Amino acid sequence: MNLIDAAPEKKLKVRNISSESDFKKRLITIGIHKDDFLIKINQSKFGPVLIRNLSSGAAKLALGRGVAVKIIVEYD
Amino acid sequence: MIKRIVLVGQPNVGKSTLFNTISDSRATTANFPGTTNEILRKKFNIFGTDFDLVDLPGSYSLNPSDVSESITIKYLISEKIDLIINVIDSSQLARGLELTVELAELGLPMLICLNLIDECAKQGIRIDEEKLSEYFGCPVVSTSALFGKGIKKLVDTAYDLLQISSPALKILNYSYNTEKYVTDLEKKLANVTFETNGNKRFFAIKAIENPNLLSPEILNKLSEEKKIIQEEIQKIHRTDSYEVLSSERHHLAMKICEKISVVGKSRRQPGIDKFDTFLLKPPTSYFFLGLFFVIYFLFIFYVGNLLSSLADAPLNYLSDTILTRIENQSFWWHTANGALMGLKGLVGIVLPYFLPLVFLTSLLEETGYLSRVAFLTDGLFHLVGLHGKSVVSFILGFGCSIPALYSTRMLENKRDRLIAGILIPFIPCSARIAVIFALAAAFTGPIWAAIVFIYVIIIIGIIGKILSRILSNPTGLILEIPNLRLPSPKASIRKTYYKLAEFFKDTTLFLMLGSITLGWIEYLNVSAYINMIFSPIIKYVLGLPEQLGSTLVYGFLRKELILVMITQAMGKSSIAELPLSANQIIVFVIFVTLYFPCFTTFIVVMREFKLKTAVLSALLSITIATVSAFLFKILI
Ligand SMILES: Nc1nc2c(ncn2[C@@H]2O[C@H](COP(=O)(O)OP(=O)(O)O)[C@@H](O)[C@H]2O)c(=O)[nH]1
Ligand SMILES: [Mg+2]
Repeated sequence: MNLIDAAPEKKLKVRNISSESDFKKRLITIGIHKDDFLIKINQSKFGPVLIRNLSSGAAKLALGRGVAVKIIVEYD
Repeated sequence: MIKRIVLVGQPNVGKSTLFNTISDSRATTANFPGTTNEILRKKFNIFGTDFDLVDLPGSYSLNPSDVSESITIKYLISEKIDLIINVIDSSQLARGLELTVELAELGLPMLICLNLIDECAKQGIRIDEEKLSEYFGCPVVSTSALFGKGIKKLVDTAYDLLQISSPALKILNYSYNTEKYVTDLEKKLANVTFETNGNKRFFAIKAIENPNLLSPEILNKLSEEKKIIQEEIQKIHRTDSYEVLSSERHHLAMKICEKISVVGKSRRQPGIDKFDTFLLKPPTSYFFLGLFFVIYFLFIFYVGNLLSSLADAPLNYLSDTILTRIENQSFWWHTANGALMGLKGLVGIVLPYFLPLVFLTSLLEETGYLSRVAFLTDGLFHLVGLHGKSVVSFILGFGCSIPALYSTRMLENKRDRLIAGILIPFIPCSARIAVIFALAAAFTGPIWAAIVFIYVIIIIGIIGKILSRILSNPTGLILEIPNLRLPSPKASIRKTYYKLAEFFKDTTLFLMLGSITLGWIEYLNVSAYINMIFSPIIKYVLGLPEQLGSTLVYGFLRKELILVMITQAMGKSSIAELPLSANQIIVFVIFVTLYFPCFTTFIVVMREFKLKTAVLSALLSITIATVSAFLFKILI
């Protein structure tokens, strides 16, 4: 499932980033990699998705919906 | 040959702060203002030798994904560099080290600077400098740039390092397969000579993950092997080689980070995360957002007003004392009067509003709330076809359009950049805020200041909407939300000092010269002609006194000059005495806020975009200003 569909407050594992390379690069440089563990903090009907990357650093990351759809995750 | 030290690091790790602190603590012998592109350069002195210090734009990695990152990698490869100081945010060590690994591959002499060590300590993290130094084979110094801690040691270490001809960096090995690819390619490059920086290993790695960075010559040499390797990687990992290599670095960085840092008890308040939830989740988030805007504007309005009235008496005393000693209405009287008017504007009007604005913004930036504002307003910005990240540029725009325009380089997408670049000059910058507030305070009260703001924001929304219709296809938001932390007033005071010093350094001269010139114009009596040129708009369309025309010319140089010039042009000594009705003031304020921000902005738009963009945006703003002011004239 993608990040938007995932439930909040559950540990998620990044399976894949389904996107063309430029965009993927952007995500990777900002610190989201395959196999990283994430937690989704908010669940809103519109507006960006808020996540915390458990694998690197403690800072939160806001991802636009268009971005979040492309991150494929699974429950850990 | 003067040796060159270059600061490289990810965004927001304190490079610029370090740049200022180092050059403050040393005699700087020359300044090269960052006018050409965002690269700042200063010449400074250690133990009697001159050095060049360069501050490069922040970069997450050496595989550029936006304009500022391309500037950085291009500089690193092609310029003569004697030492890299890799600045890291030590409270986010793992991420910082990913860039360090890449820099080590580049193979230039390097020194690691663990900055924000105070923040790191607050979070209870202890980093073993020595172990880190062993991993990379280069010295490591901890600093707290904002408080000037560790700077001496950093400079001394840099100095020592520059005396050694070629300090050996250690090579960090990738996993078995990847390492084999890299060494294979490296061998292929054995008898190629490079005219650029970067050793063979670096180019071998880039050949696999990002061939765009290579010169055609090297690319030719490697094209076949490169293709085979990329295909092999694709087969094994089922993903492209860029991702494989960057996740290699990611794991390497995490491993090193784990080995060298000890996480102790955090000194952060335990309740703070709970509070963050209130700030980020509706409905409380909107309450706080509203509160934020109200406090922000009221604080600036009232504190600015207070400071401004406090400065009045001494300034008037000074100007009376000086002017009574000079022959009335003579050339020198007008010169002195102009200069004094400039001083009054600067100290009596601009500074009082700047001070609370810059201080409060620093304080809020420090807490991390500013990026939460960006997050919360993202949805709103989507309405005008932009995303939350541009909010950061827009908020900067309330300070000054120039840094705001520069910051659009963060936007990955050309289309987003263009829209932001056209919209930003419409945002009331602090100079215009000063004009709005000062005139509103004298004539209409804060309500009208707020109305002007709301109107301008609506205008920005409409233009944005139209532009995004024309240009289509918005891109997504990726925005970091730093940890919430208690602001340190001490840090904010220092930052305020830096920002004000910087502002006054490049404004004072301009402002004083402008005021003196107006003094002369008055002496020569030519403002009548300027007024005549503008009178079609000023007098007939907007119904304002003709004399205000000449103030617009100064407003084009710097908007805050208008406050000084408006009193001078009307022959009054303070704003409150202006013979204008509240309605006229509002019309004037609307016009001034919207017509093209300033000369410097025009130049920056032209350079960051195109001449066509700058001219278009100038025409657009003049048209909108005239129409809006006219609307206000007939509606109120
Ligand atoms: N607490 C703390 N803050 C710092 C330190 N160094 C820089 N900062 C702050 O970190 C932020 C980013 O700094 P800046 O120099 O603009 O980073 P740059 O993007 O790398 O140039 C600013 O708000 C600085 O005031 C430090 O050592 N300690
Ligand atoms: Mg900087």
